[in-house]
Amino acid sequence: MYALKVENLKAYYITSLYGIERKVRAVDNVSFQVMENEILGIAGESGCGKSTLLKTLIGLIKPPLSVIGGEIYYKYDGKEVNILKSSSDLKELKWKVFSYVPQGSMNVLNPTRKIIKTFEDVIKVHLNVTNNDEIRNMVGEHLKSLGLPLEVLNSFPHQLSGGMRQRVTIALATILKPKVIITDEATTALDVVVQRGVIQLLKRIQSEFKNSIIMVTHDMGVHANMADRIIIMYAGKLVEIGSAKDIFKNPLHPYTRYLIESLPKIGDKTIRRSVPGAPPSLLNPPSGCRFHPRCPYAMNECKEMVPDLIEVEKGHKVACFLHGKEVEKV
Amino acid sequence: MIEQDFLLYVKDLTKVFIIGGRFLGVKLVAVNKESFSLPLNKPEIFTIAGETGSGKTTLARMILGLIEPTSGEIYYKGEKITDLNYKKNRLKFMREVQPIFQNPFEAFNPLKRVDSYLFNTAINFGFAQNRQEAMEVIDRSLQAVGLSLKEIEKRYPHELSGGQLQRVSIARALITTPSLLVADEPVSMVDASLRMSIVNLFKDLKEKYGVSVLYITHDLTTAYYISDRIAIMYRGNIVEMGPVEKVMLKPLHPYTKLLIESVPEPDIDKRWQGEIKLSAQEVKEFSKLGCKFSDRCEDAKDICFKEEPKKIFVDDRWIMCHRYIS
Repeated sequence: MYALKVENLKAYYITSLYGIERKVRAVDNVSFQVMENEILGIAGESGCGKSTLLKTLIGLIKPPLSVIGGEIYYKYDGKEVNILKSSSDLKELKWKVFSYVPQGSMNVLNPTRKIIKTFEDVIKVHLNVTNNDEIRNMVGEHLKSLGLPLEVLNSFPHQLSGGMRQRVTIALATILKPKVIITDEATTALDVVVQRGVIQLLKRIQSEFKNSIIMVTHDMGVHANMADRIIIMYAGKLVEIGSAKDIFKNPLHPYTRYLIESLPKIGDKTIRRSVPGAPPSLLNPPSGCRFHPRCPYAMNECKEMVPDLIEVEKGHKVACFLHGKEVEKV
Repeated sequence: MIEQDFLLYVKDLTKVFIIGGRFLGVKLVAVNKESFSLPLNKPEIFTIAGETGSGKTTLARMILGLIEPTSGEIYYKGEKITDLNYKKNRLKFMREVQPIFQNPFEAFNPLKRVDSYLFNTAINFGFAQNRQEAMEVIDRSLQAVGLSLKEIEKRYPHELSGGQLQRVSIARALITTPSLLVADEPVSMVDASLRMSIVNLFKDLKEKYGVSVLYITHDLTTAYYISDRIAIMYRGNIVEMGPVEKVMLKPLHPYTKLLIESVPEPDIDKRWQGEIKLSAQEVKEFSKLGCKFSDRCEDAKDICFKEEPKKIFVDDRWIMCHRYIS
């Protein structure tokens, strides 16, 4: 059973200046599913389209970003809703069916209002509750189940530490018990100890409410610690998808291999090399497989044709001519 | 004089920030009487690690002379740098101690060409008299970081990737042939896939050019990978300092242990077990009596809440914890 299904999604940034149209192909023909009750990690370097993908998932499509093709389905209460077709449903779905924790979300709290006021605002807009005591009980119970201290409700944001603010915003995003929680680099700006605390909280939410989490981060260590399945993105394309075990123990795509082998470990001082070359521009991506200029195994066909995402083992898909010869249909 | 035996000698350095007025304000001790040193003849990568608000950046800024310490002394090759007010002396110090900042996109003005920084540095510090000479000097230092002048000539910051920009800023620092680089979180804004190229570069600089690096970071995996010695800071104090193999593989201080356990390992068999306690309000911890970590420490004794622990030397390292004082 899936909670979210994405089919052949194409989201481009289109700008035109003096009649010259420029297309940045941030998300190019991406399909995947998010199952119920799972943590899906999305990894890739900056500028590979991770954040654009998330923006389209939550329906935050504003020019210059536009969706050229594809479908995004959410499933809830036995219904299937395509958010790209019916924008009127979007408002109802937000926070109830999916919620979003943006990058640097610890700075979204209003500095002049106590935390409880922010909770009141969110609840009053989405539920028909107006009694403040009722809201306080509801929020209190929610925080208790997440293991956060109740004192935070009467504090101002500046009185809390960065990690606590981040956890408060996560609590805020989950108060209406959404089916899908989408986090964008939620732990990147934090220190290791605080990061561990935030991940601990996300895991706890997941095991409590049995919902799905989509976790975007470039930190492979976090993915290893949390994710059930992992998607590797490169230059707007999915290049590999598989269970955490598949990705870490048996990476198939040369890019994934580089990503994992370049990670330093405590207790191991052997030389690590990073991926050679620089990330490609999405304005004018390389022909064929977009990784071929940096790939040590590049063959002639890699320069001309785009490899299709094919299933190599059960649940483990890769887009690389080393593992299959299928060409992507456009 | 003992100071002359060291490249950098920091003695009882303290910085107090006062937030909100002299009378009602809160005193915040960002760095609390810290001492450490870097050897003169042997280049070394010395890491200062710790979480946000541990005082590591304040320490770096004091060493660079960007802020004045409240008390304490910093000696560079036996000279007290707080006395370097004269322009001539200051220039010599700036030549030998060069900074590398965190975010390469902020370090460069987006409206200025990247190479103009390199030319300015070469000419202002007297390493070249004119543009022709400067090009030679610049090309040499760009070669050291794996770039060439052709690649970056007439380019603006947005035309280069984060990793390339950070390498340009390291090349800029190398123009003056420094003996110490102060790198404040140099890889935290660089992509994970390019991070190792910067880190490897520091290693090369140490081995080939004999440059010492003061590497300030919260990323413990790269710290282990490149450094020789490490100092772990917590709320203004260095709680544990010693050779990296000792401190990170056999940590003694409870905070170091927590820090190292919390590094997410890229290994799915090593997921975290158990839950941890986080501080809710950081400001209170600065003005705490006794050991600043006592609230979060699992086996804190009565004395930990009352008395600040003294530094002692145990098993090749300095440590600040009551547990090891007998």
